[in-house]
Amino acid sequence: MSADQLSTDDSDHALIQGCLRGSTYSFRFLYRRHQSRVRSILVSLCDPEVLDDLVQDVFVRVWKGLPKMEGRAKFTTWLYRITWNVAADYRRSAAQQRSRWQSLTHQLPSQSTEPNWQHLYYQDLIKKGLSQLSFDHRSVIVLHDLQDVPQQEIAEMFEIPIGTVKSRLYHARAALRKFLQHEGVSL
Amino acid sequence: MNQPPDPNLNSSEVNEEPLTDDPALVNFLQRYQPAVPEPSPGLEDQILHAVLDEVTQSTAALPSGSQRQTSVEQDGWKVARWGIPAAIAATFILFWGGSQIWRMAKQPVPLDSDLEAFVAESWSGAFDPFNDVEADLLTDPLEWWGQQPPPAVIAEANTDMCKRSSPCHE
Repeated sequence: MSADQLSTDDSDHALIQGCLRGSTYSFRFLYRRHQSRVRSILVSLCDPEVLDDLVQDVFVRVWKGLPKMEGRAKFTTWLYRITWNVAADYRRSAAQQRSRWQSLTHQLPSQSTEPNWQHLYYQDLIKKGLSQLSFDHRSVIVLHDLQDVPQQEIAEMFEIPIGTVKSRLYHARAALRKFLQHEGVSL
Repeated sequence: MNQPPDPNLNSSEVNEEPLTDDPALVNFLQRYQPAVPEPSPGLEDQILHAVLDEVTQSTAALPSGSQRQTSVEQDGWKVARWGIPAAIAATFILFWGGSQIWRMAKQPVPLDSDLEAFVAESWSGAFDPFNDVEADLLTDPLEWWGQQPPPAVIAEANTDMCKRSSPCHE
């Protein structure tokens, strides 16, 4: 199968079948389709400086895991789960060196399309707010509120009841709202 | 603010949309969510190369020539280390066992007729104490006393013997 024969209309399933036959062209399309979402999740959970490395880790794990992927699982659910695992692994290793994440929360974004100081300030506030949440609460709010992943899919991803997803979302939002109010942001 | 949802509820009991929706907060988060840096220019190819490396590593399962040679050298060293003492011990055991068998084979075997005579003599001696030399020695008064016993003792002994063996010739 060549790159010409593939199109963006191919379903994930078709691309996965191509990957299972050893086609790196199929994998390239799969990467292009999902990499922005993966990057967006990772940047909200981890250090942007290591983002490319983490993205590479995610997709190498995806390639390795494709033959073992359960057919009944939705590909994106499985992909986000791997993404979350990579983020969690990174946080564990970073926590051992420590204070890396805390220094991250004080960094201003280096690449912004809108050089608006107020925009940058709010972005920084959200980073700080997210960093104060537990990783479970933060993961749920990033996936649901920032990435629009349905609650049911999050529940399947973490293998928890949907009620737990709702509960985490509730507490995460409450904590975030309280933080923002404390910082002078009225919503 | 709304009440927190029950964490134990499953999908059949809970609607998909959250009961605790907070559109103002969600809008704010989405508007000012952390910026995602652009990937480095060569990242896609770098990932594809990593994937290709995985493919080649998984197909190259057989050991290389040098690895095989090292394995043979290690096997040879193991043989030299454990095989020589084991061979020495086995030789010693074989030599000792052979000598034992040789010694047993050289011992003289008594004839059947001699064995029969020995068994018959032992058997009759055990059940006929009066024909037994050893028994006679024990019942001889001279052996008992070491000197000539008094006449009364001899007479008593003779009386006892007459009682045990009939007819009495007294």
